[in-house]
Amino acid sequence: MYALGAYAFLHVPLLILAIFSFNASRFTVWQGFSLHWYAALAQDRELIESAVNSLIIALAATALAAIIGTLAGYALWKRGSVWISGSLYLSLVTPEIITGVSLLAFFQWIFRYLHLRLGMHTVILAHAGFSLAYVVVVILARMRTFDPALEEAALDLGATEFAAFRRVTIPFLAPAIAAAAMLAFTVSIDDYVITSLVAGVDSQTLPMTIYALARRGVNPMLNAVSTIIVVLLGIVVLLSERLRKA
Amino acid sequence: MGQENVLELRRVSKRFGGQLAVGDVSLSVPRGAFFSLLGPSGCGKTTTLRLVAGFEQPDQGEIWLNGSRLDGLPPYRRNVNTVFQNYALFPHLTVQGNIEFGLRHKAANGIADRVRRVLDQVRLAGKESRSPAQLSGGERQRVALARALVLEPDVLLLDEPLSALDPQLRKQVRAELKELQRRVGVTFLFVTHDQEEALAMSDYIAVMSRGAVEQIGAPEEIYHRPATRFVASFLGTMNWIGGVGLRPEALRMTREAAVNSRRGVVTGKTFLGSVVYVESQLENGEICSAQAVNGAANFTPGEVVHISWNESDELRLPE
Repeated sequence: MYALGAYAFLHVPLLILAIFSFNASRFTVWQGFSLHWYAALAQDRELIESAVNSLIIALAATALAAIIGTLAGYALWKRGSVWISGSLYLSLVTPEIITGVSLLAFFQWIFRYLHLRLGMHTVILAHAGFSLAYVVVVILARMRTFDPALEEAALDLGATEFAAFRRVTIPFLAPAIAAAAMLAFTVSIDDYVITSLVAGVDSQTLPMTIYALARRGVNPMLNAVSTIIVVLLGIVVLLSERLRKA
Repeated sequence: MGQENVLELRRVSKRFGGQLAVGDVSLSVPRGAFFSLLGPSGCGKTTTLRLVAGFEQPDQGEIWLNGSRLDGLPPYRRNVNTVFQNYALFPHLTVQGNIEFGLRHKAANGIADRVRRVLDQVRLAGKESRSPAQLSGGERQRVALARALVLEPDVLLLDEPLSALDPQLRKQVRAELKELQRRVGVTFLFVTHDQEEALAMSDYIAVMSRGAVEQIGAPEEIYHRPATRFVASFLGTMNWIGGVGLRPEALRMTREAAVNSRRGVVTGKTFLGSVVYVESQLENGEICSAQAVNGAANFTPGEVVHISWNESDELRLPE
């Protein structure tokens, strides 16, 4: 009963949002079904451009985080370090605003030596950075169920360390890598706080555009774009859950 | 098949963080032999096997295979292969994929033929496309064997390969494994803590305790002429009466006193089908277990018995 209540509390607002994205009126009074706001969405240059930016950033950051995080998780499993795994969990609980400010300070300091400016690349690096911890945690959890004798068996059968890692450990990790990547993707695509701090003029992301639009007043187009995001992320999360359990 | 040694360990030692795992072990394994390392857990038998496989490197000593130095080489450069305790089959590969794994890494020719031949040898033909999860325990063990045998190693290393099987199957697989070894002619270095297993299968047994080899010999030799008290107690049952060792089958129990017999009281019986072990307490407090043919004598607990033996059956061993 309580679970049902909690579930409703979590999801009823999303449901209302989805319903009103199909409303013919721009106000919260139902006036009939319409795809009007979805059509308007397709016409909005700013929204589309920022959505493309968000996708590029999320894909690049996910790829970076997945590769580095997999290697880091594997290394931590091989030779565990309380300090490193501890600092990983710390980075998971660090308030975003602090992560954002520290990244901004870090980039500003780097820019004193390298003539670069804030832009897509800094957003990608920032996103790869904060999603790295998620990837490592997922990989480490999967490695804990790995039988080290499997790698020894590969070495025993003539594989070098690298071949054993590539042909035995990576296939074992594959579902976890995919799940971790999807997790990284979802935390990257909807990040606002950190992104708004480290983004340059050319790297407006979808959450930033939505936030700017929402501040200008009620706009049912936002209902439409939010519905699309929720549905897409829902699919990603479901897939990653299924893979994580595989 | 010559009688020379295919594998030799010369004064090999290995420590783990100051803890001695293997101390000054020397072994010579004749080509084609079924050679067992037998001892309780923690005696260093598995470490010895891992030193030969290359998963560990010795701190001291030398390992020789077919006349060339083995220690220092990584596992993938050694012509020995391992059957792991839990088989360590690759879960993402089929039976075929598991068996091909080594051949692909050695860029061998005629992979398909060699896989087919070894599948026949271990009676797994027709199961090529199964995944390890779809196999029974016995089949998994045979895939592990096939995966190692297909590379034609100079020595096959087996780390308690029967311990993951249920007891019923274990005895059957024991005979099959011995038969396979004889047929293929591969040298086996077989690690076990099960003395019955070692006695039943081996040509030679090295009994290990606390990182050291206590005795090396044929099963009969080790059983009948143990070199130390440890070996005597570890293989089969050993009674210690007045400081000398006596096997249960060497003791005679009678209701009347005999020459040089000891008086005792029956305390219990262990029925093992064809034989019965009768436990008695002697007057000086020592406990002994005597073997009696079932039905020959019905001793009951509390009864007074007289225990005697031939002097030639006494084993005098240093502490």
